[in-house]
Amino acid sequence: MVQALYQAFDPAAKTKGLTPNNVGGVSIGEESLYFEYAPQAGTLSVMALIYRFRAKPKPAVMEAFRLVEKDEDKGGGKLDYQAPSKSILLSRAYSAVPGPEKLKKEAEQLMTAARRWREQVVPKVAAKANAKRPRNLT
Amino acid sequence: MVRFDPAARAASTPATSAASSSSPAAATQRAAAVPEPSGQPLKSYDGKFLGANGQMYNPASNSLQDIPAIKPQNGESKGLTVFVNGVGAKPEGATREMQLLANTSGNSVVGIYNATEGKLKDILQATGDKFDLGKNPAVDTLADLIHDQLRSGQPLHIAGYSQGGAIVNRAIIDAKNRMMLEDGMSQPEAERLLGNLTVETFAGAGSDFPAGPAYTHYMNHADVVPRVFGVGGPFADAGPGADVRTFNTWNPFTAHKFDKYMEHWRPPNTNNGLGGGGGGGGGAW
Repeated sequence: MVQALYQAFDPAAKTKGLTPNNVGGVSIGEESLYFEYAPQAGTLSVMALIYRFRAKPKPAVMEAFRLVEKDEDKGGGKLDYQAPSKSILLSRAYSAVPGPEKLKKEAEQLMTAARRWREQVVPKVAAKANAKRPRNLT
Repeated sequence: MVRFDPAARAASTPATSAASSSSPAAATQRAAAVPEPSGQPLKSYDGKFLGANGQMYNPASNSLQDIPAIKPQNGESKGLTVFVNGVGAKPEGATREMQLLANTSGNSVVGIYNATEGKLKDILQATGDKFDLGKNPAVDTLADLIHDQLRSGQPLHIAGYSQGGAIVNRAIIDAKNRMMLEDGMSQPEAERLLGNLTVETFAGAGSDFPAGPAYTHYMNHADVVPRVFGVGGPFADAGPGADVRTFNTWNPFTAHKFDKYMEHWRPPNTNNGLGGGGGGGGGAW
């Protein structure tokens, strides 16, 4: 399924798909798309990156993401925080294999939404979070 | 395979750099940068610093100031530019572009290697796991560099060619978001800090540049890449105060070549759109 998606974006793609740990990731232009297969559930999650934290995010920031997300378009997916990598992403899970063109269209919707989040929604999240806590400007 | 010049290892002494404000005494105390082993798959060098003689350096264990830069062959270096290469460039090709940029601009050049495989690019290593979801080595290295350099009060000059322009675009946004989400800055504060960033793109694929930096974008009208994926695109935002420098070489088959862009290089724009800039075509630094 991942390979089919890669081929839909670029027939000449030489990407390898998932790693033995059932994850994968590609960059497409300015966007980053990630995949995670859960064998027990039989689902494949497609995820578009909004932001990867360098340090563990402050609770106020996570709370602000949750408050803001209700009113924002998520490209058909849901807001997802991956704790091991400290990443905020928009994700969509598949339990059945859609056609490559449908998958491509939905991946593009996720990436478009993730880009809008990165450029327009994150400042709102930060403003909400920073209104409540002391700042470190040193 | 990456070729390494054994003689270069001995020359891996601290590079003089405009981005470094360290004193000479401090510089001599700095440890020499240690290159990565040669002969690894190119993908393993993705996001690594690329220095003189085509040597790769891990950004996690080497600072920018310690990387031996490619210097202009025709005079003294005026400053330092950090360069991100485009699609399909092997280290030798990226090094050649860095030398051309150094000779043309008068700045020393250190690269951030963008190991590409085409339009799509695997960004996880073969052993990647859940801890890697969200990582993108070339973007992450540049975003960290922008953040750390500006937060330490030092200016930075970056450049991207072709797909490297998209990486530059994305890294600036990531650095800005880090300032707001993790450092507690307001958007205007982050944009003011980004005002210390000078950005040049050549045939760049990036198309939505945030406020703050002083931008100079080069676009050949005969080159489809910047016209479709870059600042020439229908909904593109070159950034406030940006200077978009256009030319036309007419031949579409050679229009995307880096050499064509270097023929039109001029000192970068210094107007960052924040109200304190000096306007287009300012001096090089």
